[in-house]
Amino acid sequence: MDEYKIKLETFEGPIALLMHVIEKNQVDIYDIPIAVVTEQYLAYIRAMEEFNIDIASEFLVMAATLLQIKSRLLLPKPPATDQQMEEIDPRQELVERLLEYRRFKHAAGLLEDLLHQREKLFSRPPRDFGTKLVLPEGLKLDDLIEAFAAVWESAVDEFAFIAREEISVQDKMQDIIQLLRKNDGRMEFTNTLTRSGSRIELVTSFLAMLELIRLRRIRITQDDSFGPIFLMMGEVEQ
Amino acid sequence: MFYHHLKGHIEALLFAYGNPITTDKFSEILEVDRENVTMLLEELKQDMVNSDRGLTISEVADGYQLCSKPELAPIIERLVDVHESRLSLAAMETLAIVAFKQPVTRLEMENIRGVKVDGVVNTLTDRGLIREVGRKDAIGRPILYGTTEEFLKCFGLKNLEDLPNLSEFIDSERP
Repeated sequence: MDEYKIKLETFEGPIALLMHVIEKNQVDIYDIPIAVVTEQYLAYIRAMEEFNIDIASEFLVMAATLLQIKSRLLLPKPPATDQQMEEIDPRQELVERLLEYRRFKHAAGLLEDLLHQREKLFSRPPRDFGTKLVLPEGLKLDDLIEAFAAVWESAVDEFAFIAREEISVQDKMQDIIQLLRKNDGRMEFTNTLTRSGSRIELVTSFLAMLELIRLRRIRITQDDSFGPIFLMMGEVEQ
Repeated sequence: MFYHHLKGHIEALLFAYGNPITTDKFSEILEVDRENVTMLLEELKQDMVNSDRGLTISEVADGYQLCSKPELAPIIERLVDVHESRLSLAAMETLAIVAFKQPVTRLEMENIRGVKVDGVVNTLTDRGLIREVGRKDAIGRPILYGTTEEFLKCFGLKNLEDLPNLSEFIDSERP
């Protein structure tokens, strides 16, 4: 192989790179010429080093795997034992991973096509019908007094059961992300209290905010102590 | 046909609602059984195909939705700058894994793609294309991910069974 002009593309990961090498050489995925492929894979990694691209450790793990497979293929095969053990091709596991990766690469392409087709159809965003507030007609002052009297006289239970409000941190996290998206990625913390505004909601909301910060989904700023806390979308896009 | 006069009703409902409407919902509102609703929808669709109308009915996310005809997309794009926010290749591959293997954990996605997927999973979740659907009964109780209704709408799928069959690729892989 006198392929020394290497066009550097960015590869998502070692599997993607290996797949590229295999496709470029148009070799049978079930019978990979491991020496050629390993050599070219390593050439890419060296080129990446030359261009000072940080090489993720996964790329090196794959390189080591390739070299190991290569050396195992070079070793003389042990004489057949009595048990006649089925000999496993050292490439087997790698081939399976590649096949699976290729399957989902195809699937991604298919989804891309579907998306493309769908993008040609335009639909209206759902309408917000809101609520129509209709004022009651034909009421007299007497009616109001009567209604008040009815309430006044009705026996009020001394005890009532109030259902505890269940808001999970998970729900609140979703709330915050959605609210942020609606508000162009910036909002004040107190605006996240959209439900009952109860103390439980406040605490849950605060915990959700902390969790989101930990996951680097959002960032916050607070100009001075006890001042308003501002939430912003974090950069998680890859 | 007996229910002919209801075609207009259906069109009006589709227009007013915007989102996909299921046959169940139609049947409930119009007080007509589901078979007739489906038939009416089909007829309405045919009427639209055959005429110079600009609209069509598309089947998506277990319902029906009023949309502009695909061949008119270039005209609409002239009206407004269509906001493009493409999914990266990495996001697309990861989404494919979730779509075809759901429910699936991050680790399983990472094993297939050979790289970390934390960032892409967050992107896909933020876009409302995937969501947590439960926890796997394994060590650490890892989160399981699945696709959302938004995913179906985005990709114009009727339901998950409408996804292309993955086993077809498996068969075509052997040279």
